[in-house]
Amino acid sequence: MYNIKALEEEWKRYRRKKIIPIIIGVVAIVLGTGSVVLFVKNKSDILKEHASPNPATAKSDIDIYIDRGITDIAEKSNEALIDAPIEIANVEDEERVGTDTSSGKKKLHIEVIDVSKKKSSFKEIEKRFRMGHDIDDSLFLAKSYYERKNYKKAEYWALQTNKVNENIEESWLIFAKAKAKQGHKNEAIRILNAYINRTHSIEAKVLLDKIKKGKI
Amino acid sequence: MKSRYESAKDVFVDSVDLDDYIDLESSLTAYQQLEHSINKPLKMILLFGRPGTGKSILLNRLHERLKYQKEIYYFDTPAINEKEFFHKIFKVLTKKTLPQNTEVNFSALVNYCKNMRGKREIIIMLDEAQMYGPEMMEKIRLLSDSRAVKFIVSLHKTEDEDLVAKEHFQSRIWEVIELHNASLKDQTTYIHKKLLKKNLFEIANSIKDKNFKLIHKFTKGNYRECNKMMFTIFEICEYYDKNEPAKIRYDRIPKRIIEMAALKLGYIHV
Repeated sequence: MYNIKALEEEWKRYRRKKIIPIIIGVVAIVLGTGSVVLFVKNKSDILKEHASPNPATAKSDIDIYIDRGITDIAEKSNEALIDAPIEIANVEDEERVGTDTSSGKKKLHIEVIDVSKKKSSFKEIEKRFRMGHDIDDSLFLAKSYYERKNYKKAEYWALQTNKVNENIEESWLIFAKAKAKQGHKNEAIRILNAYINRTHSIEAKVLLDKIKKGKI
Repeated sequence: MKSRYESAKDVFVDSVDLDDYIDLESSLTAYQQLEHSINKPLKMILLFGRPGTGKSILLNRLHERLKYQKEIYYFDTPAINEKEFFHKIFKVLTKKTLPQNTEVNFSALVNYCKNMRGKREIIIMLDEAQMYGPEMMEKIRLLSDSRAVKFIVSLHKTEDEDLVAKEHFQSRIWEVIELHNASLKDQTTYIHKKLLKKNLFEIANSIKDKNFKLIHKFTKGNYRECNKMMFTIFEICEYYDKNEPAKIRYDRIPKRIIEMAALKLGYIHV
């Protein structure tokens, strides 16, 4: 007869030794599966972030810069790329943007294509404005023409912006500045006074002061 | 009190006792093949297989079946030396016993055999033939060339012996019968039939399919290993039955006991 007790002990050691790789295997499978799930989840979140914008935010400033027409122009003309902070207002789908939501506004660093030197790009945006009446397009044109010292066109696009939405302060200011630059100083003062009376805008007051002093 | 497992254990004591012979599909095929070869005008037949594949019991059975029909002799253990071997051959051929201090004249023996051709046909079965040296095997061949004596040579198949068998017998052997380890089905039948032969129905039924699979995995279907394994399993069962009955169930054999037996026999290690 064998020493059964010793054999039992040996068998217990054997079982332990046999079970350990199984446990390790199970743990490895669980961890592996978990990490794959997390990876897939993260990847889908990233894809969501890069997905096309929500229609609700389509009219925000982002659209101006990521518009396909402008990016096409950039590719064709090898325009310089500017990395600029863009202010976004009225963003409805905050989760998709995934930035600070405490102020209600978001700052994003996105690639902005400087198209101001190309006439063809302005034509594209003008054409698009006529189709969509997007104030982002008209305001962009107003600012761009002003910077290029094309004050007549700047005035025109500021007016177009104002026609769509008369509460855009920037359109008032550009309109006034463009008028002043063209020598219509009194008209610029009259416009600014009217706007200040309505809104009490500090920026408008500062601009009014500058125009009065002849700094613009 | 005698444990029920004691009788079961004894069933698997390894032996070549013909009462223990179990008819299996594979062994029946080998038997028929061997019987058929004996009836052919062949000089030497090689029975080949790893230890524990049932060569000895097959020769034994053949001897038992044919001993009243043919002049058949079974040399179960190899002779210590050439002198003893030829003394045995001499006795088979002449039915006379030589005195211990005499030696057989081999040439005279060959001539004696040649003279017997057509008158007598003697079959000699040599078990464990790997024990015979090449010189002795050459003399056996010369005797078989007389066509009066037919040899059935049983050889273990191991790596080296495989080579010996191939080299030595390739040109001399006329027929080779190879025995293999049992399949799961054959081994299951073997264990069942062995137990049922001794009326151990309950114990036979307590061994389930998964037990058979495990036993086959450990023993690789080798009959000798299977006997050892079953003996050990029932010995462990016997211990529990007598000393710690709470650790055993009579309706099934726990996997633990099979693994303990495998550990004991060295099939698995800690």
